[in-house]
Amino acid sequence: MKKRRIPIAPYIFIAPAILIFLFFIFVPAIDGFLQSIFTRGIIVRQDIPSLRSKFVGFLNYQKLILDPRFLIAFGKTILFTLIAVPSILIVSLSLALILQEKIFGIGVARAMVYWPAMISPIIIGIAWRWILGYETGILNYFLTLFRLDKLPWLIDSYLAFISVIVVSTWAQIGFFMVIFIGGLNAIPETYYEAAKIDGASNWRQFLSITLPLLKPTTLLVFVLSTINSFKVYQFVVVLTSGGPGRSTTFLVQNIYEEAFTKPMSVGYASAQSVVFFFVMLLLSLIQFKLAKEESL
Amino acid sequence: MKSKFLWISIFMLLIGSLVFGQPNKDVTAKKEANTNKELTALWFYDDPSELDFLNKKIAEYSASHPGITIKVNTVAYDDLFPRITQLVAGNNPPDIVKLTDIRPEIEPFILDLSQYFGKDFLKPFIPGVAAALNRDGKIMGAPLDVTANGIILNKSLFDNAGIAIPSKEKAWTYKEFLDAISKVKAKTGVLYGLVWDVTPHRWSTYLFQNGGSFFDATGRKSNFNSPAAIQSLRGFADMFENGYIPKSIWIGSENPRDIFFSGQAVAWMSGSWQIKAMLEKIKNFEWTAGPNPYVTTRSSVLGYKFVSAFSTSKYPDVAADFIKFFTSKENNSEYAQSLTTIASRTDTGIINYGNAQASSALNNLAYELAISPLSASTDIANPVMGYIWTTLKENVIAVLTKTKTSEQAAADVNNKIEESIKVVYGN
Amino acid sequence: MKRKENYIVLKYFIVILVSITFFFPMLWVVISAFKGESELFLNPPKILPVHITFENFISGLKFGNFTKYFINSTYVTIISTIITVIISTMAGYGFAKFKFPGRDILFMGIMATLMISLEIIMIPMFLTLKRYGLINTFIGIIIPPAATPTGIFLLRQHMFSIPDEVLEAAKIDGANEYQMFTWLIVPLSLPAISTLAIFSFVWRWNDYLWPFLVINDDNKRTVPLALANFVGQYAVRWGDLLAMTTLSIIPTLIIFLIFQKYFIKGISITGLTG
Repeated sequence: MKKRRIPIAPYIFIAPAILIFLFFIFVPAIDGFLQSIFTRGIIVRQDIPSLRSKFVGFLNYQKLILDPRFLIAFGKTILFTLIAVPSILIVSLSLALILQEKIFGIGVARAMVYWPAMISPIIIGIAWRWILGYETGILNYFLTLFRLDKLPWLIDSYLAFISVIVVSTWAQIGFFMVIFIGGLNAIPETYYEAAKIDGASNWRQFLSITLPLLKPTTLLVFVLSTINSFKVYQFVVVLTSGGPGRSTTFLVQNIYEEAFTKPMSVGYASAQSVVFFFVMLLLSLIQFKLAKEESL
Repeated sequence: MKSKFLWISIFMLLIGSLVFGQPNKDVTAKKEANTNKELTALWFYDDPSELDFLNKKIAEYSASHPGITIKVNTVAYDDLFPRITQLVAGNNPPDIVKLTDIRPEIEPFILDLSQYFGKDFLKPFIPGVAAALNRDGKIMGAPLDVTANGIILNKSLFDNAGIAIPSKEKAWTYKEFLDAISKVKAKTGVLYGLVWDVTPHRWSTYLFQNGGSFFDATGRKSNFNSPAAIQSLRGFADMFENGYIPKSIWIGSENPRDIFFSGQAVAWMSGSWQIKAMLEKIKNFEWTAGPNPYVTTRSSVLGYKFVSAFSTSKYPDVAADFIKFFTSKENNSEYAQSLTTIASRTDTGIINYGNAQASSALNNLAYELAISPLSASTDIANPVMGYIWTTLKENVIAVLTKTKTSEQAAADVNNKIEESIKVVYGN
Repeated sequence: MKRKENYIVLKYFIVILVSITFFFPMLWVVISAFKGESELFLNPPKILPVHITFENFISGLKFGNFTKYFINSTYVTIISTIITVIISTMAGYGFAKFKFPGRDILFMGIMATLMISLEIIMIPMFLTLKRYGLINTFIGIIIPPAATPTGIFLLRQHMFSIPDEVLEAAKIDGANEYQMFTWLIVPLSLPAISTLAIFSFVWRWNDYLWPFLVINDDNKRTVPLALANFVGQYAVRWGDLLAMTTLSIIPTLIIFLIFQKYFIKGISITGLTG
């Protein structure tokens, strides 16, 4: 029996997925990134002077380093991510722990927390825009019931930013909570029993057993929530349209607007996309590296 | 071997359902006769009855022109431009399209209707729109309906408070108007005095009412860095400061329409296109439109929608012919009447909308439009406007949120206008 | 003993509070869908409708021709989910249980696509689809989104927890890889598969951008696209929008309720500590 050095079987198994990725993601992505070295509009016709594309090398990249709209959107995206990710980590882990209690109806509670993760971001934006309205929104109504002042959730720049963070967290917690539940369930009971016998308190058990053994899960949540936060767009645009002004305009919205609302700006938008991709890639690699070093 | 069999059957089932199982495929005529011409029209609408009207007219047209069918695809207004550019970029543009403006990317592909109907095709239409659709002799489309910006009033509140609304001949200054609203508000206990639509197009009404304008008479030079413009930015912000207009509207996402419809505002700066929905939805109070208040100049602002054809169409002559049919005197008048808007033709005569409230409101607003300065129409129709709306809105809001002074904002908008003039008209 | 009781009350309180916080927003949308136009914008708002009305549902269904869109969405979602499950399970198996050149690079490459958001490659994506002739076809919205990195990740993680000994035993019995896959791996992966199926169902049902890119024909529209039509040039038809939103949540709700047992269990078994 000849021993084949390279097995064919695995390639066959991964082939369908790889082919789809190749044709439907990889090809357009390369195309898109190539667009960044041109100045062009959405429609390109070399025979019509106003629609010609022009090769400009790295001009678009030079432009974006100095572009305040881009830099501000970039900054806001980073700030959003810096606040949203720890919030998601802490809240989803806490909920995973709290909702492990074996009390009646806990499954229903878990389902309710997970529920928002099943709803499309557009609907989330619609629902919360409805809820956070200044005069007619139900949240302010509750505030007035407690004799508090109505807050301009979507009117004030800072509050709008906070609203976006809260809604984004609300929408994603369920998903990450379930991931944490999985991680928690994978920790063998025996460790806890042993610790109890040794007289360790709940808090001590948490610190010495739970947290360390949750590291891979935590890393997963960390990386995924970072990517999600960086990519945020759809529900924000429905909720605030990027406003008030541009206080909740993040990178993806900036790129979309650049491509679709400004003439001859698709190349520039593509340059921004390239930068966007590489920053995320860098962030993820850093996160993995940190995790590896920690576990050594 | 059993597993192979299993996978093959799964595979075949999938392929089968992909190829044969698709729901809602087009019901295309089996006989692909050569005389069968199918066109597509891309349409957006606010009110579903417009779609009914369009389909009715298409059916009429098909009946009198056998072999021709027109399929309608709809799109949400916000997605109109991305969708059109996508289609054109993909070499798959529709034959007929309803538009509100013609962006430079699309312009090379729009059919010049003067080739079919001569240079005077736009004569029967309102001059402001006709000028907008005439680009150096090329006729870019046929107007559908026009809209006039104007003030809508909760008449019941005025009656309850015992305050009179002036006649359309006399009208009122902003001072008189704001005073009157405050009195009505105080006497009836309603929540808001004035609500104002959150678009730069609606804001520009105030610019013209202050005697300002965007361009000079040639339309090739900006007129925005003027005392009138600065005053309009400041005066608008003052109305918020002094509590006449709630901040939740322009600065937040609350919708003035919803507020007015629920009877909680005395006055609403919007326009004629709302009348139809008001007829349907407002049951608890009486309303009317106009007269518009003014600072120095009485003005409304023109808005318009039109229908165009793509020169890439396989049947451009059919497309052009349908457009002519759809905007004929009879059909245009019926269109205006069924949609409860102002007709774009001047030869339709007074249209009876079948409802006294609606008729008087629309006629008041048409009156405001007729006595507006010409710039209120030609400025808006200037292709440069397409480039500056966003900047304008941002700057109005900047003055409201006190991040810019009105002088700075006016200067910024002015620069943007000058820049865009260069882009559109070349140096 | 008293202490324990106090804690129980506290626990219930927290759990109920949390549940309400998460559940209320959508509940509010559903309640509001039953309010007439005049009740939607009251200030101050009333929680329960004074008159329960179905007018929004009727007008929304008529306006949109929503039954057609529901059928389209169902078709696309189910087929795409089936494809997703099949290719993710295959790929997960390939990446988890074999060593071959390029394995890690290919896997990393797939994970990296998580960072490409569709909005930013919309234009080249459209042109690519156009080149393949997939514009305005259902295939165009079924196949491309079926390759999801998360799906492959999930299945691969799960596969790690299937002991190699089981596979060895099967090999000794003379099974080849394909037979092992069909009769051994797949049954053992059912929890992860149902998890992925649920995720995929939800994702495809809620897809907006893909159908927007691909579909021009009104007949082939899916539900999220149709919802966008309620936002007009001048105003949002809130009544209709809320009602149709309510309807469009129902399928995902049903799927979730039916499968949630499997799926919460499923995630637990995937042993993400791999």
